[in-house]
Amino acid sequence: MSADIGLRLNPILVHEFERQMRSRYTHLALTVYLVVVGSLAVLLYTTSFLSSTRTVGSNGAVGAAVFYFLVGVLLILTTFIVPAIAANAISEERQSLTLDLLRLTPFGGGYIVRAKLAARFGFAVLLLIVMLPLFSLAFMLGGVELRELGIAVGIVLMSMLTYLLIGICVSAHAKTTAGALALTYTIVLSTAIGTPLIALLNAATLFGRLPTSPQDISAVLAVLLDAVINAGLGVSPISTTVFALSGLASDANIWLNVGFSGSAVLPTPLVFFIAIHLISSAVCYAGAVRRANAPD
Amino acid sequence: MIEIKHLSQQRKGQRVLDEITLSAPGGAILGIVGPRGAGKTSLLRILATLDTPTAGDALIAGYSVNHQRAQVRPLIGYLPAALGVYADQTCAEYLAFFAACYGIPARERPALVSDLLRLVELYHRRDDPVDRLSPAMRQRLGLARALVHDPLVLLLDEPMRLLDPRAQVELRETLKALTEMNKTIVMTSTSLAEVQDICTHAAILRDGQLVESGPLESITPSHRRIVIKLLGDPQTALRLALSVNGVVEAQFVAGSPLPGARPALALLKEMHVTFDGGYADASALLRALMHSGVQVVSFQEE
Repeated sequence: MSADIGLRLNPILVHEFERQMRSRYTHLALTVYLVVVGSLAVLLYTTSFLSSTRTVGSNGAVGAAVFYFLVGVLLILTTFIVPAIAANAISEERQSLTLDLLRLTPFGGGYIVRAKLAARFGFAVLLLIVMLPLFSLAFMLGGVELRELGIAVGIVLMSMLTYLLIGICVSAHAKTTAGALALTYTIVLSTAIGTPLIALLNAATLFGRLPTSPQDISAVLAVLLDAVINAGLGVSPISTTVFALSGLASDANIWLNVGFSGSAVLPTPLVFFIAIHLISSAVCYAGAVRRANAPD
Repeated sequence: MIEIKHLSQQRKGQRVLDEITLSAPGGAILGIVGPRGAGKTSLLRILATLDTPTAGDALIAGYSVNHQRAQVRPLIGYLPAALGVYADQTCAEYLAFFAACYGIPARERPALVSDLLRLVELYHRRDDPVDRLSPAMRQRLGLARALVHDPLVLLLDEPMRLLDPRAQVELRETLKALTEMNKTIVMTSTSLAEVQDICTHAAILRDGQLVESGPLESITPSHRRIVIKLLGDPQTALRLALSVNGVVEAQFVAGSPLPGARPALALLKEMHVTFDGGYADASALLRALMHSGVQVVSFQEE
């Protein structure tokens, strides 16, 4: 039976897709999303174009402005919308008393979690794909390199995956969708905004040559603190994107750089981001599967 | 087919099931009977591999529900007391979805779904959204879902609870037809009377303990308990109850009124009557109480 099942689409995934696309709100949300983002991009383009002096390369500056704006929209989307689409994944099944029925099928918890993840990741990627024509506007104007787009999209996709898995894991443990939503937002917002702010505050306090900055930090401690600060920045896709894109703009190494203390070369926030998000995703996936299989 | 051995379960330090040992052969209909909170649903959930016992084990077709869940699950069809449905699906889609989950090939699903809907007499509602069904219809749809993968054993949690008398008769007929297909059925109920004309075996649970079990003929429903809620003089009610033929014991349950309850409800008293008579005696008891001027609010066999 299992080989037979392996050859066809996971029915839970198919049902999730049907559910998403049967709702008229999905089409309405997608339309509103595109209209808002498109209008803002056109507004930005018009404002930048009119305010820039007609010199060689001015189109490039407009293109870069449009690109950074769109990347910003994607990061906001990832941080604020993705947790909302993940937090009901398992708790909704539990509330509607269908989780037990699904657990009794030969699929089990792993299949349920993968189907929920795939459906939601597919929807999040759809939100990204519908923005590609707007990105092409930035490329037409110039001032943007393909590797900048690659890095930005890579960070967004990876953080989408992590946030979805955090939401699904929380949802698997929560009794209600409201509780899952609150906890998922708490985790995502504190890591996406809170942690990099604390890291930057520490960097400024420790190495910012402020009157309050300590004068005698040993070299080893400085390297350690530098690593912690880079890790803190690497937790968040927002700070990681800012550091990675500014590194690319100044032709710096985006994988290794000199830390805030200036005492040693260390992995950049991008390296920490990849490591932290891979580990978090794996832990959340295992936690969600374990809970989905466990008795209530 | 089903063998339960010294099964115990504790939840939050409280013993829900205590050393339950019973068995049912293939093709039997086992009725697990007991009042609410007796442990019927807990026992059924363990058999359905949805809960874990703290001690003991149960075997279904030789497979342990505790250690061989993957082998047990294809063998069982489970109907919970409250059926979970997806509001966006029609009855036919709901069954087809679970058929797909159980690996039934796509080309076989339409015929299977139609057959099952006919079996539970919901074929005419096949394109209606499941959330528009009445509770009794949902119960029947749940039974069809439990049968979707043709399991050997059916575990039904209070299947009669939401059904009207006519639907109960129909369900009994359906269950009898299923046993002729050599399916073993385990069903729970709060009343032995509700299941005694269909079950071949019965087990009576009270406070998580097995009171009696075996083939139905060997179960002696000698001591029934009736819970009567009434308004009026308790001494008159007690004297009357003890005077009725077949009553073994009658007593009032001590308790304080519910906080914030209306005065009328605060005066409500609960009398437990144990008797070994038949239903005619129970009827005589009710008649006697009503003629005496005692206001009977509810009269229910446990």
